Amino acid sequence: MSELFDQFLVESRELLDGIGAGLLRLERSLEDKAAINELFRAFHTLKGGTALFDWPAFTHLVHAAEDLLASVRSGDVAATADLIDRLFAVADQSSRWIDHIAEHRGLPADAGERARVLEERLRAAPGEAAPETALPDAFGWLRDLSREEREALRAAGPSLTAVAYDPDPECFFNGDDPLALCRRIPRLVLLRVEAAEPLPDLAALDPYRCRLRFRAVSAAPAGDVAPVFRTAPDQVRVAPVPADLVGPAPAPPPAAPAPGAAAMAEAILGEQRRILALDAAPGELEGRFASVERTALNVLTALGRAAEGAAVQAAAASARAVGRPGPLANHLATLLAAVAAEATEAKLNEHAEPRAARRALRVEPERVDRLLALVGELAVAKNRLPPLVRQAEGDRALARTLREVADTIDGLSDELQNAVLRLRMLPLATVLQPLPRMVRDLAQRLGKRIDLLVGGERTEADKDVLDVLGEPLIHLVRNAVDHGIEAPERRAAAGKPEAGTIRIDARQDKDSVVIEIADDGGGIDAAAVRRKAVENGVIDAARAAALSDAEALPLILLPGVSTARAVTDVSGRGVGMDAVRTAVGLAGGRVEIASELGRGTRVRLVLPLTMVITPVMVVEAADGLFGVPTSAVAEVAKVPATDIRRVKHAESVVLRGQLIPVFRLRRLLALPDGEGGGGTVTVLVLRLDREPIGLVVDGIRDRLDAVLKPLSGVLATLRGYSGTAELSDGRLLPVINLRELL
Amino acid sequence: MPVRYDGVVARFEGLCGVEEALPLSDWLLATPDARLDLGPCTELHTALLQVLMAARRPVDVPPEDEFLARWISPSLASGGGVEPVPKATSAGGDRRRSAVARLAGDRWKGPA
Repeated sequence: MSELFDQFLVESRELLDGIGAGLLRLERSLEDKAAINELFRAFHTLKGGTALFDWPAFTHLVHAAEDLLASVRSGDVAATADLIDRLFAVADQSSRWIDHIAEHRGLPADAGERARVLEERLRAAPGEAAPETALPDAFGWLRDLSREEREALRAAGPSLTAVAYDPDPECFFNGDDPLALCRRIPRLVLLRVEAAEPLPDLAALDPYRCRLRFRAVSAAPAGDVAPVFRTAPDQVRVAPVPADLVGPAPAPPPAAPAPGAAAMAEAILGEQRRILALDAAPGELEGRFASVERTALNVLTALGRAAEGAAVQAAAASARAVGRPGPLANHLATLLAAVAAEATEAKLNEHAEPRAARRALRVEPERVDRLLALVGELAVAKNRLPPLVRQAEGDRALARTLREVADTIDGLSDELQNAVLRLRMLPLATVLQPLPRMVRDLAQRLGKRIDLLVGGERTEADKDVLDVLGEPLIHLVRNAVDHGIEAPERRAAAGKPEAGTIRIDARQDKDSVVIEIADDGGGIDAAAVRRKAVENGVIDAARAAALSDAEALPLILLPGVSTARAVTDVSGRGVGMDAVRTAVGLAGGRVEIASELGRGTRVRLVLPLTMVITPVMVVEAADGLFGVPTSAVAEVAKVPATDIRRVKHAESVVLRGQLIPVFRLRRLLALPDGEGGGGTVTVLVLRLDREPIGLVVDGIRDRLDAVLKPLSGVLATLRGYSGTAELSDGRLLPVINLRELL
Repeated sequence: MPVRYDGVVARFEGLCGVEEALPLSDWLLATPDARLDLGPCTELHTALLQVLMAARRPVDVPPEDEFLARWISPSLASGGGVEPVPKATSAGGDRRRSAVARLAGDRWKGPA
């Protein structure tokens, strides 16, 4: 049972994600039939899931949403923004319940009340009563179906055909047998045989005059039903059943079988049978019968077979009477066979639709990390082979064989590492998913109209990178909604379309993931950024004035520089952009920003694909080796030592006409001063956020893909290092955290 | 004959057509404690159904035919199949034990 429970949690969360996305799609295009269908199916499936457990409030609420969607689908109720809001409310409530259920294994105490309120909101949808009048009089009986009948109709499908057949009283003389005709109605869902007027006593009855009439519902289209009655076309009326008639049912609403529910039901029933077969003390049996009976009843309800519940109760009663599980077990076996047949059928139907049958494998992240750690250790162990090969030089044949083996292991361990890294890759969809909903809600609150276009959800990045990415992305999109996109009137005045557009694009670029958030809003005023930066002492006035607009914009990423005129509850406290820069920087990425006043802003986040592997440059300083993340190095320049000019304590160099401040790694690390020798020095030109910075090193030794291990123990307090990597000879390489150091 | 009258039991077998309507009506009027066995009935003419509905007699054995069982049975009164059945008065040759007989147990054997 617990596996079923877990499966339910996972699946319902997926369904709710789908529902959120579907509602947003529907909102964009209210006529989107595919979205309506998907939503209907999602709510339907969710309902099936909830009905397998004993949460009537949940089932009712989801059912009401499903009903409403059925009416939308049939065109009886129009999809409106208001209607979408109500459905969102249901989805939100469902999500909260799922969270609650995951933790407490049941619904909160107020669930019934909440469900009732939301259901009422749903039912208040306008236009629902309208089609009543459209129904021909001959089908009035459709309005007073019994609960079971309504249930059967709902289970049969969305498009139903109603038949009202009033045979001619003399029809027997024409050789007609109305009942035989009714038998030929394809896909018969309901047949009522009624007396047209109360039948007289048998003695007064003329057996050769037909006094019966027939009311039927078929799941086949009207075009398939009508031909059955071609011998009596004047006595029959055939019409599609308006969906809302089958729709809102009196509480408690019965559940129709959900796709996949049959398989689940099969598993549950099988489990109940197993339970019955277990040995039990005589006193325990009673309780066991009761629990099996209840479970079986729930399953039947979920499958839309509530009518068969009486038989279960009878079987349970017999079991109790004889004090043995036999009768109940036998009945379960019968049920199981019926349900299994249904499950097989459902599976066959599933095959017809191009649905991905493959299930994703869910693995605990810790297991993958453990695997990765082992791969790292393998790499280090592997690095001990080359020295052995050298030692074996004396024996050429042995040396050659050893080298071959070493090469093979080398290749395999690389592949293994890549394979494990791939395991940690997840599509960006996981972080992009919450954005559409957020944009919608924010835009509504701010009275703006915004279209959000998201592309590249399938781009993959390491799970850790995604974890880092979530927050900054939300900040940036919020900024775009709040400060970027203008109010509709202002946009109209500026000759832009009233609805603003925010475009999010993700793509992989070599070893990086690039995420671009672009809006067509008001843009950032570079002059205001300059002014604010100077006010806050981030930069002095002279230098600010010297910056071009493009160079000044990145200043907005620094603490305290935010250009929003008013602090709103959405964003604009001047910490957002700084937080973005910090978070992205910590992950080894960078933020780029471009904006044109009046035209819009584009922010680009560039992050490494994985944080596990960091490409580093191995540089030398005072006979020590240090790692510098390659991602930060824009270029490596060799310049004459005399080119580095010193003004007071600050040094700088001019490269390609640009003045670059220069720092010496030896000094930064408090190592003894000394020249690298010769007349030239090696300068790494680093590009962190805005202006380039030069870093003088003694030399460059190597480049390598390092698996960074964080510093532990006392060393963890050394903030100048982001971790250590192991070199092929087993030595540890401290990797410099440039942001902290500079 | 598709409808076989065996004492107080009317047994409907296979295709029961419109021509049975009048005899059935007459038999029912003459047999106040009639028992109805629709078990083997595969096709029941509307006229017969109408007679049965008007007679309001309990059906002791519902039809096995799926269509009839599902759609016709609700229109007919259902009988208490396990009530004692009076001894058969028929000396007919058909000794096959019908569903009624099975329900009634050993009491339904008829004179040998």
